[in-house]
Amino acid sequence: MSIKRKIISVAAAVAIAGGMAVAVAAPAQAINRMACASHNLNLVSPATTCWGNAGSVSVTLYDVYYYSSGNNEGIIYGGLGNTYFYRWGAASMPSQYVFAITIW
Amino acid sequence: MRLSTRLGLPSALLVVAVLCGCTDGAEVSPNNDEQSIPEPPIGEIRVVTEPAAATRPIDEYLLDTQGVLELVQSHTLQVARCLKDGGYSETFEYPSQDEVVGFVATVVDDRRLRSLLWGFFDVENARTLGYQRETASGALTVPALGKEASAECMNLEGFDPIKFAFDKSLPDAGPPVPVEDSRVRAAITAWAQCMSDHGFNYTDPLEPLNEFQSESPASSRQIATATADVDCKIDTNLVGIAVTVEDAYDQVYIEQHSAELEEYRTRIDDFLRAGAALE
Repeated sequence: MSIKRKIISVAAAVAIAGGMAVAVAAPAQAINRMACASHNLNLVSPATTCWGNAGSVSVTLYDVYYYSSGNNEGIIYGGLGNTYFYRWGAASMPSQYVFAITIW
Repeated sequence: MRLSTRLGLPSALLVVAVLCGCTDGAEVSPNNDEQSIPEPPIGEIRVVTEPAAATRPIDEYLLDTQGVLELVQSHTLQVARCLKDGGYSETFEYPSQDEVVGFVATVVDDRRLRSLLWGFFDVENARTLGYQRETASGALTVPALGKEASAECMNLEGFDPIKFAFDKSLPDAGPPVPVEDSRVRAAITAWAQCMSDHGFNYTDPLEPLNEFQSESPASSRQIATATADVDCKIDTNLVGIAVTVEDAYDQVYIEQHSAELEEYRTRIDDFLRAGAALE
């Protein structure tokens, strides 16, 4: 691996771990896990989790196969790619590992 | 029936009350942060009975579907060149054009059909689809590259073409959503009363959208709720009042972010120019 690529890889890992580089001002409330409710981002898996507020977070979620977005929009970073979602949408997705979430 | 004749007395009184300036001294915290700002003065209340009329000053700065597609095409070219120059054997493609167009068009259309402030206003489809979309593409999954290639070539200078379909791509995530504005709150109260009169109990126009988002196809109850929802929005002019208030917040935002908005446009132009140079 070239030095340039190493630097880029480390920078990307830091970005994901510390909050993805999104072009928005820091929100008053950062993204966090919440009790599941219809207005939150619901990531359905054998161990369903739900999220709200703007920001980015690294996660370790296995076998996520369905989402409902509530009043949230953003990106689900999974093993099969970056899944963009809009508000008030719900859909099945190929079961996959999710490693980060961004809510705008 | 004309709106003026459809407005019931309570609704009409509400509009008069709003017009009379119940905003003196009121403060609002539109982004739920701790800093409160005075409610900006508003112009003449607009009457909005169809989504196409729910225009806003900030629209001028947002890309339409074609504009976002041009960014996607430019991004595709630039990623391909980056991969080639970096010696990667991987290739990158967005999903099919139909999928991308379907997703982006939904986001763009939602600017006038679904709002964080006034909720649902798809007048044309409420009676048949309820809260569902006519062409729901759900989500858009952009395939991943390998870790190194992705880090080097996918996020070119932080530029994400799909995000430009969303108003959150704007500087500081766009104008605030004045959910606590007293004029909007009064209009929502009138809408909630209208919904109650129709047998549906909601205090917030986002509630039915949240409740029914996963119920597709729509049940008869969902359709009845959505129908009453848009009828009540027209009867109380909730959307008209809300966009009138948003006009004022948009203008303040635009004035306060003129330099950043210029940079936003320049960034888009520069990105398109970089892609065009590769064609």
